[in-house]
Amino acid sequence: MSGEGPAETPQSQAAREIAHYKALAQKAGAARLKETEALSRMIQLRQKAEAELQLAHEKLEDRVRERTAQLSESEARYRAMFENAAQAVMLVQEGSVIQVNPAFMNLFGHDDYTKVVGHAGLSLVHPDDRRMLRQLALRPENRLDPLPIRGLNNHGGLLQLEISFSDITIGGEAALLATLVDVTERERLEAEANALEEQRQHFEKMEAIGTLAGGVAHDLNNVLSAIISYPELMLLDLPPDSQMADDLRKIQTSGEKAAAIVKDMLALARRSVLSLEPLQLNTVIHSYLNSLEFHDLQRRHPTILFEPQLAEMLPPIPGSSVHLSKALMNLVTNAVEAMPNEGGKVRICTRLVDIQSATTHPLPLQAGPHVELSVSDNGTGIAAEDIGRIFEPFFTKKQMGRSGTGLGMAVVWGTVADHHGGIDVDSQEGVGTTMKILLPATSQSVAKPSATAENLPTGEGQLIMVVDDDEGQRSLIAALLKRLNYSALTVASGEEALELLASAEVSLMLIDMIMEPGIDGLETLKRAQNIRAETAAIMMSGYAMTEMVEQALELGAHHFLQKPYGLNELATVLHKSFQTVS
Amino acid sequence: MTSGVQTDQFHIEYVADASAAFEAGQAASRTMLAAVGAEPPSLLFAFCNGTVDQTEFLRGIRSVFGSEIPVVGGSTVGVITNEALNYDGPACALAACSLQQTEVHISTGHGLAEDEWTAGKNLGEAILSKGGEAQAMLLFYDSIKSMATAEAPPVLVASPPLLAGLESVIRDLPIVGAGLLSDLRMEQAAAVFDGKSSSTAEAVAVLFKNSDLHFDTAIMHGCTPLDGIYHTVTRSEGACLFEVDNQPIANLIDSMYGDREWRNEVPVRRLTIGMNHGEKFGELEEHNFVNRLIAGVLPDDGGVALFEPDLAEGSEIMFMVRDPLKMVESAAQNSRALVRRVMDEGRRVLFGLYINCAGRAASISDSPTEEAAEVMAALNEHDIPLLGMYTGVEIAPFLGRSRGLDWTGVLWLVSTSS
Repeated sequence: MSGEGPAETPQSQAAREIAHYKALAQKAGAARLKETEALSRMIQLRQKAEAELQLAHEKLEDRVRERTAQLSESEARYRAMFENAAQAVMLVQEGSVIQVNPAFMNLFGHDDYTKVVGHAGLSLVHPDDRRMLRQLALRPENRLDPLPIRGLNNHGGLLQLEISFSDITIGGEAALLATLVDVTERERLEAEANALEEQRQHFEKMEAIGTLAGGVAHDLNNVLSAIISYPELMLLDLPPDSQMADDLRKIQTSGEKAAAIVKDMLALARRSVLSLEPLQLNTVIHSYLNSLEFHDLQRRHPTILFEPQLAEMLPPIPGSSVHLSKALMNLVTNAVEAMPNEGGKVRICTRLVDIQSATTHPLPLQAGPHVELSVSDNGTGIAAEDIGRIFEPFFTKKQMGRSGTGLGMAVVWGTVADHHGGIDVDSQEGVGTTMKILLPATSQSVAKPSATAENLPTGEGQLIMVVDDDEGQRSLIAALLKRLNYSALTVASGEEALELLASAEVSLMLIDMIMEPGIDGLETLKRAQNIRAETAAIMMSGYAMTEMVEQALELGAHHFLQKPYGLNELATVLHKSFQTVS
Repeated sequence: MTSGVQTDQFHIEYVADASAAFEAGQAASRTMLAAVGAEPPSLLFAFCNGTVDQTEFLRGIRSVFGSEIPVVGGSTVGVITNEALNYDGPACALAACSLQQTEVHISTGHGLAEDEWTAGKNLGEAILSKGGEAQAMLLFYDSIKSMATAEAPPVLVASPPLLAGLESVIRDLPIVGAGLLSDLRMEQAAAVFDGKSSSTAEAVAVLFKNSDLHFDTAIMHGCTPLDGIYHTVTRSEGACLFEVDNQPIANLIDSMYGDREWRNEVPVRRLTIGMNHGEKFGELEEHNFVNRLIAGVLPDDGGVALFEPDLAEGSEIMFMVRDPLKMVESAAQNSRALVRRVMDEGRRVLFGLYINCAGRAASISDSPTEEAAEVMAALNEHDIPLLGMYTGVEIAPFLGRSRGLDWTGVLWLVSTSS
C-alpha cells in the first residue's frame, strides 16, 4: 500500500509492546500506590480518632477521678459531721436501721453497732409509741416536728425523746433521716419549773389568805380576848360547882376555839412566827389522844380502831405543841373520814429516823436525826391526780359544810414547813393512805411545865402602863393585871403615854403595836426610851409577829404577846420581864 | 508483672511497668527463678524499652541470678512476649534458657562506631578462638553510630560490612540477630547486654555449639512489587541512591505518586526498594526479596537515602509497596507455616525469638492491627514461649548468606527432635 511506512520489525514491535505493557504496569503500580496511600491515610485518620478518643477517655477518667476525689472529700466532710454530731442521728430504710452515729449509740447505751444496725428501728421505741410511728410512716403529712416519743435504751430504760424526720434518698431508695434529742433533763427542768410555779402560786394564795386573815385578826383577836379572858376572871370568883362556872367555861372554850381558828389562818398565811420550844412529840400525841376533840371523834366513829404505836426514847423536837396538836388532829380526822363505811383502823406511829444525806433524801430535809410521825388508815385512799392538790387551801373532797373547811391539810403543810420538816404522802385507792411527817430533832431538853392557875406568879403592886387604843382591851388588861397583883395605868394613845411617862412611876409598859390615830407602838417605845432609857416594855398585837415587832424587840422590848392571850400567859410574861429588870 | 509462659527449657517473664528498673528486674528474676526450679538457667535473654534504666535493670537481674549466668540482650524500641507487646511504655521481658546439652559461647566485638567491617572481623576472630562447631548464632549490636542531634540526622551502623567482616572469618554459619535501637528518635545509643555487662557501640554474639537442638528461621515482610518493572541503579554512593535508569530517582518517585507529598515522609511510608534474589522473570516470591527502606529524600531533592548502603551501581531493583494489610497477612501466614513445618518434621518447638522491625508496629506502619500479634497467636496456639523485640535492623540467613534486612520480621524457632 502506497504511503505506508517501512514495515515494523519484530524487534521494534516487541519493544513497542514492552513499552506498552510497562506503561500499563506503571499505571497499575501508581494506582496501587495511591490505593495503599489512601488506606494508610484512612488508618492514620482512624488512629488519630482513636488517639483523640483515648485522650477524651483519659480526660473523662481524670474528671471522674477528680469528681471521685471531690465526692470522697465531700463524703469525708459529711461523715465527720455525722460522726461528730452532738445529736443522735439514725438512718432508716424500709424500717431497718442502716446507720447511726456515735451520739446515737451513747444515747441508747449501745457499744456494738451490729446490735442496732440492721435491726428494726421501732425496736428502739417504747411499745406504746410504735403504732403512732407506723401510722406516721404511712401518713407523713401528719408528722409533728419535733415529735415527742419514748425510746428504750440498751438496758430497757426509758428515754424521753424528741424525734425529727427528714425524707431522703439513698441509692435511689427512699429513706428516713431521724434526729433524736434527749429531753429527759429538759422535761425534768420543766417539771421543776412547774413545781416552782405551783409553789409560787401556792404562796401567792397563802399571801392572799394571810392578807385577809391579817385584816380581820386584829379586830377579831381583840373581841376574842374579852370572850376568853373575862370568863377566866369570873371563874376565879365562882365556886367550882357553880352552874354559871360551867357556862363560863363553855364560853371560854368557844372563844379559845375561835382564837385557834384565827391562829390557823395566820399560820396558814405564814405570817405567824411560831414559838418553837423543845418538846416531846409523843407528849403532844398523848395530849391529843386525851383531848375532848379526840374523845368526841371516837364517840362519833365508835367502830374505828385507833392504834398508837409510839417509839420510846425519842429525842425532843423544837416545836409548837398547839400547832403540832392541831396538825395531828387534822391528820387523824382526815384518816377517820376516809373510811368508806363503818370500821377500819387508824394507826398513829412515831419513830426515830436518821437522815444520812440531805441530797439523796426525797424530802427537802437536812441530814441528821428526825422524829417521824405517821398516820395510816385503810380507807378509800387518794386518787393519784388529787395527791398533788391535797395541801392546797380549800381543796376538799368532803361534802362542803359537813366536815372541814378545806384548810386542814393546808394547816398541816404550813405547820410542817414552820417546823422545818417534810411531809410525804403514800396512798393507793382502795387500800389506804399513810401520811408521814418528819421533824428535825434537837439536843435541847424539854422545859418544865408552866405555872398553873393555882400557882400563877403574881406581882408586888408594880405600876404597869397599858397603852392601847381599844377601850375594851384597856379594861380587860387592867382587870387581868389587878388579878395578878399589879397596878394598871391605862392610856388610849402613844402620845398620852409619853406625857404621863415623865411624871408617873411606871415599872413597865404594855404597848399595843397598832394604834390609830397617832403614833404606833414602835414609835411610842422609841420615844419612851428617849425619856427614860431603862423603860421596860412588852409589845402586844392582834397581828402575828411583824417586822415592827422585831424592831421593837431589838430596841429592848422584853416580850411580845399575841392577842388573845390568857391570864396564865400574861402572868408568865410579866414575871419573866420583872426578873429581867431585877 | 505477668506470670510466665514456659516449656521445660525456656521460661518467659514480662513486666509492663519497669520504670523502677532494679525492682522490676529483680522481681521478674525472682519469679523466673522460682519457676525454673533448682537448676539455674544457662542463659538469660533480657530486653527492655529504651526508657528503662538498662544498667539498673541488669543489676536487678544480677541481684537474683548472680554474675555467672550470661545475660544477653539490651535496649529496644519495645518488647514482645506471649501475653503482650509493648512499644509505648517502660516494659521489659526476660527469657531463661536451660540448655542442658547445648554449649553456649558468648563473644563480643567492639569499635562499631569506627569501622563496622573490622569490628565484625574482630568479633569473628573472638568466636573462632573459642573453637568448636556452632549450629547457630545470634547477633545483637548497637545500631547507633552517631546519635541524632538538632543539627544532624543519626548515622546507623551498616549491617553489610559488619556481617562481611564477620563472615570473613566465620563462614557458613547462619546468623540471626538485630541492630538494636533504644527509640525511633535515635537520640541515644542502644545498650547491649554482652553476657556480663551493659555497654554501647558493641556487638555480642551467642553461639550454640554441640547442640541437639534445631534452629529454624522465617522471614516475613509483606512487601510486594509495585509494578514488576526492574530498574537499574545508575548512580549511587554508599546509602545514597541518586539515579535509576539514568533518571533522578526522586523525579521517578514523584511520577509514581503523582505528587511530591512523599518527600515529607521520614521514612517513606509506603514505598521501598526491593532486590529480587529469585529467578528474574519467574514468580515474584516474597521470600526472595530483600527490601531497603527509603529513609527520606536527600536535601538536594535529587536522590534518596536508604537504611543500608548495599545498592551499588548496576544493581537491579524493583520498587515495592509496603502494604500494612499484606504485612499482617504475611506475619500470620509465615509464622504459622514455620511452626507447622517444624512440627510436621516431628520436632517439638521449645522457644521462639521474634526480631521485628520497629517500623512494622501498627502505630508506625498505619496498620489496622499489630502484625506481631499474629506471631504471638501462632506460637500461643502451641504454648511456645515467645520473646521478641522491636529493632532497627533484622538479620537472618537469606539465600545462602546472612543479611541485614529492613521492615522485616524474623522468627527464629528453637526445637528439639527428642
